[in-house]
Amino acid sequence: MGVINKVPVYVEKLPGGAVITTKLDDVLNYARASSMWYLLFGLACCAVELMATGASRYDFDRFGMFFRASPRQSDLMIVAGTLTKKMAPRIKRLYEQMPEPKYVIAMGGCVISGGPFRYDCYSVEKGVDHIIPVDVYIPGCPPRPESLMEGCLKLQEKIKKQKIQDWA
Amino acid sequence: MSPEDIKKLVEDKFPGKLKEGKITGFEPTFILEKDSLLHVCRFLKESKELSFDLVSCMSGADYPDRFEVIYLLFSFSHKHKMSLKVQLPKDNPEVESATTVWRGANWYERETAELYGIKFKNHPDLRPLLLPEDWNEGYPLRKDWTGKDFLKLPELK
Repeated sequence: MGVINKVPVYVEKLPGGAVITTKLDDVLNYARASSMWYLLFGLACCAVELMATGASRYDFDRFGMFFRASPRQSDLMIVAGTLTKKMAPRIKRLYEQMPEPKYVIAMGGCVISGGPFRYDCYSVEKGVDHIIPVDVYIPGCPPRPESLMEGCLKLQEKIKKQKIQDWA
Repeated sequence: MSPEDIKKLVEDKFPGKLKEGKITGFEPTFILEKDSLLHVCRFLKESKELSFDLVSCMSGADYPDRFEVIYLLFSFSHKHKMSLKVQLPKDNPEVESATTVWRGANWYERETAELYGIKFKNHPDLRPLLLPEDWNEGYPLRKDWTGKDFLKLPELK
């Protein structure tokens, strides 16, 4: 019954139990924000930091986050590492294979703007937001696990403000 | 063999054909005429004392007045190394492929060809190697290259 503590509810006691009244928005957003399963992939050194965040010391699992090895079962894409122009069409295809609702976190300088490869470079895409829409940007080179977790909490806040009409 | 011995051996074998020979760091470096490249390469590989059987790396370079192709050679049996350089003109840079001597030069030459636009004559298969399949923006490692969304590093003020 964790949901009672997490979303605003009206509880009406009945003999032998209770009826709760709440908003569908809140229940759906609570469910979505509390189990963001991210796509298991990484492009460069940021991926190592992503793995460290998923491992036991920093423990992504306490936010309900866990990796899925298939885009068809993922809610969140954490683009971690340098995105080359050759990789960009693959990223787009992975994003398109994810079911709605889907979210994207751009992790690290390379993915935000090209980072150290922004100038005098022919091979790196200058920002993943040229390819797919991004919800949260996390700067750093690479960002520490704390930054990544902060970014994920920001994304949770964003999800909790969603309205169901927006998805229609 | 010591770098000095290698240098002397090659210079004695090809008098007048080497533009320049010097010892940089621990290895001898030769600048060759491009016509004599294959003769020198074949000698370096087949001579018993030298036996350079591996192209450990190969690259191009773009200078203001010329292109250069650089071969780094290594010998497994003698554990010594050396490098060769060939200078090519800016317009129509073209050199004989070293794949007839070392088959391992194949992909290095494909890479150099696609990034610098240097032609390797008699290469078995000079398709682009690393660039995207639909790449049509020229040779990106040339100094005067610019592409669709290429950004030049701004001058520091």
